[in-house]
Amino acid sequence: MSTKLGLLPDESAAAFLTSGVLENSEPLPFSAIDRAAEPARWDAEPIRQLVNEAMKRFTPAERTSADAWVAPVLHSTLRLTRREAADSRIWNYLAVRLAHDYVYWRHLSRGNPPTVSRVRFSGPFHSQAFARLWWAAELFRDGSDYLPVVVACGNQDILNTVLRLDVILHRPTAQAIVRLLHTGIVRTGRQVNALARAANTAGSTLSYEALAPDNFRDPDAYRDWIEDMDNDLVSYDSLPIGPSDGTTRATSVVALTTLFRQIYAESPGAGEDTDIVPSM
Amino acid sequence: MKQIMPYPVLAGAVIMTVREVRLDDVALPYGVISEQDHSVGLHAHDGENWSAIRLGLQVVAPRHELDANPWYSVAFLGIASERATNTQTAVKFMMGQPGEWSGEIELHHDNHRGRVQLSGQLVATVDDIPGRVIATVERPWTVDLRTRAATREDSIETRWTNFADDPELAWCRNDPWTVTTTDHVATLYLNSGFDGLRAVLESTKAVDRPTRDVLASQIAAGMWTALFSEAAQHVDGTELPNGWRGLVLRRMLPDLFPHHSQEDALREILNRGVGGIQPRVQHAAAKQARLPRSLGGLIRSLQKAGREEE
Repeated sequence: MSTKLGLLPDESAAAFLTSGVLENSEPLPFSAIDRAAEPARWDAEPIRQLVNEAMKRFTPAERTSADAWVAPVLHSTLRLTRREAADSRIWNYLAVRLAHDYVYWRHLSRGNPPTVSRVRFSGPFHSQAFARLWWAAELFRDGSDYLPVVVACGNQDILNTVLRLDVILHRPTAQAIVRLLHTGIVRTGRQVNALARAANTAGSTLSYEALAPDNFRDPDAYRDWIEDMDNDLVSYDSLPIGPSDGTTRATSVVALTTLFRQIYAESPGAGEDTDIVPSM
Repeated sequence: MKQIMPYPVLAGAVIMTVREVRLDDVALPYGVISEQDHSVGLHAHDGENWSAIRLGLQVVAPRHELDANPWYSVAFLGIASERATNTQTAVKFMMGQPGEWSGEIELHHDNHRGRVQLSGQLVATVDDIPGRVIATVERPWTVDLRTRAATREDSIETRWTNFADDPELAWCRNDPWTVTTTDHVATLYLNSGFDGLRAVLESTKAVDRPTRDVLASQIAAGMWTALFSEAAQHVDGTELPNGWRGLVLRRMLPDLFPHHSQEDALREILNRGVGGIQPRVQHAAAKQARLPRSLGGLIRSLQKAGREEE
């Protein structure tokens, strides 16, 4: 394997993801994958290390908890612009070539035979094993502060449902949702979903952008952070520091937190303490 | 289609216009702005070698309606968004004349890669509730950042060939034209062996013009009908299919179902099948076909159509 990451097109990834591979009963054909991938500029080793570290820190039973640890570390190790992160080929390469063992470890289902859903290897940003965590970190961080990312990724429903909603592309909206989660106003998956649904519905008649204007995100500061990669050692034991490209406007987060709390209180599904999961 | 809201909304249209495009502070020729397609194409410019695009925008809403209704603190927010890069930017515009706003939206290279949608909302305080959306821009704009080379794939092409000499086309050797499709490209073949076809279609004489226009628009209508039927077979949900099929549907659906959202229009196709909507397909194809007035125009519009595709 090359010491650099690669870019693997969707069509090639799809061809390698046979049902045997998805069931982890057939090996991935690495030399063919290497031929299909284009070289990329990022070092492979730091990503490989962080994946090993994740599988060492968390037991298979705790694998969902690994998301909150991996997301900020992945984001600050793999420094991409949004333009680059929108290219599915890099995520395909990570999952199919560099760290397929992590994808099995994290996403193998309990069915018979156990299998990994194809979209965990190659799929939309909110489903793919690595893209979902990187984008969660990018969309939920508050400037250089990754703490909101840890809170967000500690709840699987944020990753599974909220991450794909258009409303969270507005940073104060994303931060307000995290704040309600952090302060325990919403706790369970069912409550998070009810809140997200209510905020999304209200968003069709209320302009959150108008009610809660955001600060400017500084693209030059983000660029500087990317270029500093070689000088920064990404910490595993304390939260890494993200790009100082400007924090979310605090008054806007407060205003939306108050508004969402009110919208949520009036919505069906509020106030239930436990997740009632119907048996399937 | 306007949604029904629990408070008064604007009935008239909010129209957005792109006035100026500056790439790293250099004004681009007006030709990059297409009024007809509501698009800004940067294909001709270097895909990687820039850092910011600034768009000068103007917005007009019906003034008499704004004056007559119970809205306070009316403001306009311009919004640029690209789903692929999960990036959305909102900018408050300045009011000029009553009912007119203008503003600038900046797109940064690192935050965008393909098609960026420019739209916006008219917002007001209604019944003491601030921030109500009372209208959205009727027809959003698209800024296409992809380089020409990257967009040639997945397009609609036009080719002259003698059908009798081509084993693939010999079966229709006496037809003036035909359409073939693959996943990546749809090709309109024009039969150079068809007597007089090329002479008429490529004629620049004024006397040939009525014949040329009728012929070109007949071919175009037939082509759009064929392409629509093929593309509709690939609809399996509420998302557009990839490649040229998505392009064809995106262009034709607003004429097929003028009061439906794109999702609802796709649902109609699924529910009723192509057979069930045939008169509408013919109507939309005829409308597409009226747009270019000559074969040159037809070919140019197809090339442009190909470039629009994601």
